[in-house]
Amino acid sequence: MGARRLTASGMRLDQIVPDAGHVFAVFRQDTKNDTHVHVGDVHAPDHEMALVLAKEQFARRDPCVNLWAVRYVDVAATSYDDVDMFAPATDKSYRFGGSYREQQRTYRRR
Amino acid sequence: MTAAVEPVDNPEQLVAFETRLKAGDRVEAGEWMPARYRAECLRLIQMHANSELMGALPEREWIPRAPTLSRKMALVAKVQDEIGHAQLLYRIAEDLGKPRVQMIEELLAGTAKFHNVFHYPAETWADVIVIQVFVDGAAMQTQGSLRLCSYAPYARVLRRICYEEDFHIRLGIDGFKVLAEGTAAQRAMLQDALDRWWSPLMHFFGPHDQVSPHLETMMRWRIKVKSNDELRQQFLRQFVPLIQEYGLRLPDPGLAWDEQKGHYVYSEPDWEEFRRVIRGEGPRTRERLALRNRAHDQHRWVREAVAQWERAA
Amino acid sequence: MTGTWTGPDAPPAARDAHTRPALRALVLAAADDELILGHRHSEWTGFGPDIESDVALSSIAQEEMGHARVLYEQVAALDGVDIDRLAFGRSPQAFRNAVLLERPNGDWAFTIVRAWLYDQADAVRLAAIAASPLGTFAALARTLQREEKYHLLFSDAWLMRLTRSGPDGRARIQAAVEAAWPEALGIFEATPDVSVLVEAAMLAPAPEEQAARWDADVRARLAELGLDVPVANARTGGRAGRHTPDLAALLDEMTSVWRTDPSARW
Repeated sequence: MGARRLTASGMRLDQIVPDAGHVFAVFRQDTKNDTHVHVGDVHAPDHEMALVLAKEQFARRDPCVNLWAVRYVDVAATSYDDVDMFAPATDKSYRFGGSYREQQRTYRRR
Repeated sequence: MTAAVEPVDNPEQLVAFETRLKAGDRVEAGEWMPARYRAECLRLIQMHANSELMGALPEREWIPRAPTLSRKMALVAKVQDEIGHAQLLYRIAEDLGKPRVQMIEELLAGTAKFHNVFHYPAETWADVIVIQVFVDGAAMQTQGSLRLCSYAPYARVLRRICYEEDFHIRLGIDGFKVLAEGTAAQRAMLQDALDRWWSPLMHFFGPHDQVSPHLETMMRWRIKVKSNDELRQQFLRQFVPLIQEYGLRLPDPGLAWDEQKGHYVYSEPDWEEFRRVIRGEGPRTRERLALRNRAHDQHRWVREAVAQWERAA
Repeated sequence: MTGTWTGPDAPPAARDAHTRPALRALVLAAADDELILGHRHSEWTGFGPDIESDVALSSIAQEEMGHARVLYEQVAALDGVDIDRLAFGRSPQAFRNAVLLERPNGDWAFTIVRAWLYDQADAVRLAAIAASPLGTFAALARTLQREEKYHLLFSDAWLMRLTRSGPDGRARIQAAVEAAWPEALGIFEATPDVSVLVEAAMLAPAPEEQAARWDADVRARLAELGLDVPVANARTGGRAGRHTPDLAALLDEMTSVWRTDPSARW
């Protein structure tokens, strides 16, 4: 876990692109009701320029109140091979309201 | 296409991969994929990116000459979208293993392919309209179908591309109606443009698919979703009525709906011309690559300055 | 739309026959600036130094043209003509843009420096109109200011990086500043009868003071970047319709399709 973001065939971007540091992931916040969402990446010489360029590439049509830019090589990611750990193996119904509703049904019946 | 020594895929992983795909799963960058799957996706996406960059050229010639302020602004916006699409596509192609700078160099060197239609001239304002309706309309068939492709990053980018392409086509149809219902000179210009573009449009989807192991693999891996002929028929069903509705002449006298067969029949396009164009011998191939190369050379100092700036930062 | 000029909400400068021509001239000059520069910026489409900057400059081009459109709409309402006739139907001598803007794009250094000098000037001009008792025109200026702020952000970002990149970038930017400076001084050439607006306290600060403000802003930033300010006389004439062959060539191309049938719908 905690590997740097992998591209195809398990390579990291800096194994493919000599100046991988110039790729920035862009996150756009549509409105203040929303969180920032990854919308794509830009090639840019630095963070500030990444934001300037991201505005047009990723916010010229969509609503936007805020943008983040993060160096792509700084994004830590899980591996798709680890997808198992996100799928529950044992009963986790204690996390969900469903079990509570079941209780209510049982309770009312009495 | 294949390198001298093709890496042999782990057979167990290959079986697992194919099982997953068959169950409808998709592939992300960073997941294991057969070497050939990766190569085919890269080739497809790279060609698409190249086509967006080269596709901008015939239309941008008319930006300085657009006949109203509105059309001018809309045309700049449209070409901007295309450059934007190239940006998105090169980025995901890069994750498949090739730096953007290398893809651009290959394009400039004439060794990378782009769609046939972008090798042809845009001779009049009506050509811009025809491109915006019919060329974008043709691209939309392929792009629309590939939203179902198995390579997830490409499928996602195509959603945005199709969304934007949709209003290019609508705006194009608006321009088309204005010319079709305009002066005699405007109608004639539109008919002439349509006549000149018809053959490249019929070529666009490629020749009739030859049944082959290659095609079968592409379909099984969902890198290809519909056949060339299916896409061509889809295109004709959508756009032939538009031509007829405005009383323009169908450029191909052999083009007609065959009720019995349930599809359009048409004069067989000249596939030798298609092959020549795709090889890089189209009417405007050399000029356009030369233009791109000149711009690239003129900006060398900018790239070097930016690289210096990056290193110092 | 004529309401902008004659209705009850129209500013005094518009309603008063004495000041109206001066206001029209001011608006027309700004509209012509935006159209001509927007056209020049749009000529880079597809050929920018990198894909992202290509996309960004395209947005700026569209916005400049959008500003031109909204400003032409004001003049068109007064004149009773259609905006495309204003944009496409005038001869070069009837244009009131600053000569700096009709020059060809040159290299990326000239494009950025020209854009930056103009964006700085536009900021000062719009601030003056926005703060003056010009009613709907002031409101319009405030709207345009929002987009112009980004234009300056973009041109300044490039200016700074190219200047500080190394000796070659710095030399090219310096050369572009030398080339652009005399005609940049012409941006604040007085538009016809603007003194009438100033004397009636309907436009403040006056163009000379706006020019001084621009000069101070620009010098400060150039000094910060270690660039020399050229010593040169202003090359003016644009506000009086005296243009270079570059404008004639630009307009000839720009109007070539429209001219085939000015009465046609496109």
